[in-house]
Amino acid sequence: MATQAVAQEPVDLPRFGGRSSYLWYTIRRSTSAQAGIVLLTCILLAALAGPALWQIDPAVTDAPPLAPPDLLLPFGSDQFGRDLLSRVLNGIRLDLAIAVFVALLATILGSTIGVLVGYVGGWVDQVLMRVTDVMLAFPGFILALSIAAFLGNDIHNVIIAIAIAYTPVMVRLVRGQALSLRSAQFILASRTIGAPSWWIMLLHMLPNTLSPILIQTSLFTAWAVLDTAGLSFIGVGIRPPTPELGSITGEGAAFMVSGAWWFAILPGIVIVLVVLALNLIGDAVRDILDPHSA
Amino acid sequence: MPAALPLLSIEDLSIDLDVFRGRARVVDRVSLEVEEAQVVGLVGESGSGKSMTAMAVMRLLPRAASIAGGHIRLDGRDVLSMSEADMRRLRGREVAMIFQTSLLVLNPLLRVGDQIARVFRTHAGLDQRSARVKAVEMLDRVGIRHPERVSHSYPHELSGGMIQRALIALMTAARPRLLIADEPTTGLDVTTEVQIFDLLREIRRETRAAILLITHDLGTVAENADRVAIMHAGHIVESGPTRAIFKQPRHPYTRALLSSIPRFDGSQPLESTLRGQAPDVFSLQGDGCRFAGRCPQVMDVCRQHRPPLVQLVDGHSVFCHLYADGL
Repeated sequence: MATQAVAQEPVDLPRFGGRSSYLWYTIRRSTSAQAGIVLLTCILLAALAGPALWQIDPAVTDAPPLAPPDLLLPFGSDQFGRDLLSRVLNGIRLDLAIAVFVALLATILGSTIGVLVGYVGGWVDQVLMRVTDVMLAFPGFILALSIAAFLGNDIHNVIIAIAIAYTPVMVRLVRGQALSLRSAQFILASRTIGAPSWWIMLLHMLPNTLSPILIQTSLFTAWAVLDTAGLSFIGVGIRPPTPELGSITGEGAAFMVSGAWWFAILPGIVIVLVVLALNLIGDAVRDILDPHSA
Repeated sequence: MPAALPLLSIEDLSIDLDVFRGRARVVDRVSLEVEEAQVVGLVGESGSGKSMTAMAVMRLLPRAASIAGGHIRLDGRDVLSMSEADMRRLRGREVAMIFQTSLLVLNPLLRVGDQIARVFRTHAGLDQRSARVKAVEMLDRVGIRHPERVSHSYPHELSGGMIQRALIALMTAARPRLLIADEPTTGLDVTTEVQIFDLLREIRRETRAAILLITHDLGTVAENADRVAIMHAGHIVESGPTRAIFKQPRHPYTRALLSSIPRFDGSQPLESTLRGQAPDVFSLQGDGCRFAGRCPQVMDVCRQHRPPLVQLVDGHSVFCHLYADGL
């Protein structure tokens, strides 16, 4: 048999480290990724362990009202005499949880719709793309604001509102990838041997779009913290007395003029740090998954 | 010739392409038959409609293309009127297609063995484990050494020739009765090309699969095909047994093609090669011969009327006005 006698290329190729060593390489090289990791670790520790270590109930009003920061009240107290450090620690926890759920929800919704319209195409694609155009015409925050105002503000509705506002971004991204994958040879090969559509979408399209999806998801997380805080700041997000960074900052803003600077400034700085950490991580994720853009 | 129905029969197939430049008939009343275990070569320049014809058989035409007429019968069944669900069951089992090698003929993110195993899971309903075993068997059958190890590799870890073998394993896994090979060795070096054709021949011998070989390379056709159809600008201009076509080409286009193969014995003047380009199918008018603009033996009637089908001996036929009154 001719084919059996054929000489073949050796299969034993040298294996270089693969993705995990590339991950370390990127982190070693990038100061901002390192800063992001350190910062986010601190914030996660504060959010997860903080309330257990600083065992003061964020709802209890036994401190003097509007007390400036000192050793017993590191972040001072608010107008009702509640401990602000405790409120901020609980706020970080809540905001991160909301952000993660928003990012997951927007990612799942957006990539599902994106793959579907990219694969099916035709008028379905046209109609849905015009809908996303309209949604993208509004700034995400304004869109989330109107949806939240429409749904009414509790934690679930805030998550849904912001996730819906972000979904068109993901739909666009994934649909574009799916469209370019449509003509990829392995998709054609797959259809040639009678692969069902769900298989092509699930096994071929989604995995090959995973890098941009993950990059966008990490960006969503950072945006979501900012938008949750923003919505709560202007009173359509999480309502007091639930401790949330934006609503604490919003409450504190009223007392800036009376000299209680810590009430708004300290939670505000925490928001900045959380968003900064998530953005740095987002950039690092992009550098790792999409080396060409670096 | 046996009276049995051919495995694939294409009758007067026309395909329109609708793009921003306008509408063009890129395949015009093409008829073609492939019998069981036969290798038929479909030869033509780029853009002559040979791949479009193949995609129509798979019912995987691009969105801009539409069938304007004709019939395609595969094993007696009317392909063009089948439901998409029936068609999907047909693909892979009855007809499969291999095409030009590139790294991307396989999904870069899935292991080679898993991709082949998928075929067994879909078409034979096997479970993951036995499908994997079958996948390794397939890799072994297409002459890949260390099939077990290769089945765990990703496509980028394979060479071009191995990828093409893996693709053939993938496409023949469900034992299709017709294998469409669209330029299967373009992009491979000559030694690998010979190996791939050896493999295809062996698969044909084992499974009695017919092969529709689409190519612009007359050499591979001469060596591998039982019958040849020559396509030019959406028309089939000549078809017949390979020997007859190569020994006694009738159509001026076929003659030009054959004389364009470089010979090094000086038996042929170099200037006999074909001049000009294939006509732009978007600006064609009337129903004349589409080769008229380049034909060295063009007559007035060629520009007006579609050339008649002239049957010669042994199933050799030619569409040309030159032979309208017999040979």
